[in-house]
Amino acid sequence: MTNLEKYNAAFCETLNVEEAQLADLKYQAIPEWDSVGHMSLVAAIEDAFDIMMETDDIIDLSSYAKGKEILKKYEVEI
Amino acid sequence: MIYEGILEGKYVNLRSVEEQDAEFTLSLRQDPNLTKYLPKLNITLDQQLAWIKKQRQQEGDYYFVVENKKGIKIGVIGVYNVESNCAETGRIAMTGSSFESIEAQMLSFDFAFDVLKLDKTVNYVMADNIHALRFSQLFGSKSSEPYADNDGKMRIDGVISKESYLQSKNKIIKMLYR
Repeated sequence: MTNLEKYNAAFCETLNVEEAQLADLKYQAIPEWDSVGHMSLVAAIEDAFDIMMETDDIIDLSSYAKGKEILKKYEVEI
Repeated sequence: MIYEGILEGKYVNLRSVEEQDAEFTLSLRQDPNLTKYLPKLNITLDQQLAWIKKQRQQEGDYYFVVENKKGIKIGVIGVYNVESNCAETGRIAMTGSSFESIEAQMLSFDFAFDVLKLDKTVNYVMADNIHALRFSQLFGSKSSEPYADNDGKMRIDGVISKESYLQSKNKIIKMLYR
């Protein structure tokens, strides 16, 4: 699996969305991406890339696109 | 009823609502994004103030303002209808981050189980209120099947035992405090 595939899978499986929805997806834009879904998403991303995100980054993870930027900090290129 | 202490967390503090919070609590209660599943509330600031005064005297009724660590009010949460070993949880309206929302809820359950020494809490939500259902399940709620209430609205009842909460709390702590 490529990093992009892993990243997309974390979103799709955790938030129950299709890949076509991902590009514009933002926190709290759908019922599934609420505070509970957010924590599940973080856990899935951390598992996928074997990283431990900092609290500030978890709070900053406000969109699918923003998550890609944040992951660069952990040396994960999407 | 007033709880004199402060429920302190890493991200938020909970304190009993005061009369000076009337404007804030009313603004939350009238925010359509936060109260989609609650009955419409068309009251004045004076009426909200009167409600808080009464609430502060009401036996077995605790209503907290949630403040972030900068002291900014970001929500409200309640533990009420305390009877014997059980209470209802709800009256939640939060505007903070995921960490703040989840910790605020956790502090309210700690209050119910550790301070009030209850054995269980109950929650009643509209069946299509996915956010509330997911939130209660995160904290170990066992949900009923959906049923129609007297008004024909579909509802789901939940029960959170102390044991179930403590099991869930271990997972939540790992998420919150990294």
